[in-house]
Amino acid sequence: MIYFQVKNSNGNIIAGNMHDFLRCKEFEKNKNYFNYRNGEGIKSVEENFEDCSIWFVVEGRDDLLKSAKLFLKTLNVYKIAALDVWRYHKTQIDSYSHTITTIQGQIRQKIEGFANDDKFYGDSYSDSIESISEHIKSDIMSAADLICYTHKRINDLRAHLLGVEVVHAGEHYKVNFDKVSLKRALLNQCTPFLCQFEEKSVNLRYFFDEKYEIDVDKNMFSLIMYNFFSNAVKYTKPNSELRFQYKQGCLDISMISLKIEKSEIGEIFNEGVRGKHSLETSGKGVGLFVLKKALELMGKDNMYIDPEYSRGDNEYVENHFKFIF
Amino acid sequence: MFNFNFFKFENNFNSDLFSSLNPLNFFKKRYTKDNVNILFIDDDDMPVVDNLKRSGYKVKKVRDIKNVDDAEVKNAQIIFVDFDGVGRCISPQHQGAGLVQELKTKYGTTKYVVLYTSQISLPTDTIIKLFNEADDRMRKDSDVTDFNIQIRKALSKIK
Repeated sequence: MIYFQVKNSNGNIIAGNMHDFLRCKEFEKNKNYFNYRNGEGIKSVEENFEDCSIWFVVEGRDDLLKSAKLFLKTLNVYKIAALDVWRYHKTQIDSYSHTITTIQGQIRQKIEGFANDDKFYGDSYSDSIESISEHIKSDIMSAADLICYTHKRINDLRAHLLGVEVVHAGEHYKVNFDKVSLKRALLNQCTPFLCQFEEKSVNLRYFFDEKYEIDVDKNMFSLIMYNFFSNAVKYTKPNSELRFQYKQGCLDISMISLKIEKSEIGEIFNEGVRGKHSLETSGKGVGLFVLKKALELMGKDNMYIDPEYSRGDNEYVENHFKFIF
Repeated sequence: MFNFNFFKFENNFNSDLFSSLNPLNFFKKRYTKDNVNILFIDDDDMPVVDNLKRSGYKVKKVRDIKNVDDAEVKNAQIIFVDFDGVGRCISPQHQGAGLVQELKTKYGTTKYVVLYTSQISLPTDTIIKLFNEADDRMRKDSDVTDFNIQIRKALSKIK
């Protein structure tokens, strides 16, 4: 039997099956040990790396215990796999905490700009409320700006948390379908992005009315549209339009945005993949991946970028994103 | 015969402690809150920029730069650089950390460069080494007080 355990530099267990090893506690004190006699044996090895350690135990495996070369080969395989698992988890944790830390920092800094900490002080909660109320009355526009800003950041946070859930635990998500007006749902989802669209002088135009309804899971729909609008805001050409058309069950969102090569159209929905024309803009190639995952969860994964428009040598082309709801 | 070594005399007043007594420094520009230019290079929104402006600083923010010779860089004496998402044109592999290295190589002590991040750990030894090239580093979610402290520190160090 082979057992292994990976720990980070804080001594926390990241991965492994060492809990199944009956003599685990006994070997904790001396992890480098070898004993082989009369066909029975056990070998334990611990190796330390820059930011993690790996503990490897082989028990009762004659072939591995008799052959040092085979043992080393097997150990190396586990080392490589374990290190890769560790690095993958570390990257995920870093990315997760980075986003949450950034968003809470943005909200905190915005509140700080509106009111210093001392404005929140009071002998009681009602005193604090009174103090803040007076401050709001003295600067209502800034208070409104703060609320809108916080609303946008909370949306960012929610999308991030939902996205992580969809990618890593999507099979546990329970989909609930509701009938919603497509236009109202889109208006709702794009509101947090209006400020950024306005900065780029991008107009949003709807070519259908509120009577058209679709069956969607509200959380998944908001996640899909959040990721879509996040990309649209980044890549749409300034002084242009975003057009929404709905015909025979197909939502067609068109815009003048960075060209997506025909060869990339299928690939850019994969994790970490970005179109070659987008590389000078910041991004991690996760948005469209999460969008596709959310669509799959809803059973509506027939969304595509119409390849008919990816022609010519211009930096910006008219791209059509089609969703079948 | 009286022998006075002016070179040795001047060198005695080059350390930070005595730099204000160095005659050569009498004509060097001193940076204060009123005349220092601060630049933020960050693709994310940073409300602290507005907070600093309200405090009376001259602050500009850009999403990224294409060249360390860009006008915004040349005009700034204190530069805050985000670790992640900027500097792609200058250092595609190391982004913000690589950008800091280029800035310090080009401008030396004439610009004070701070690298900030929200990451809880740094990925590699190379990145740690690049982080150490910055004049200082801080957390991206720091409040305006911390940024003020950093700026005051920078003002005493810019040459």
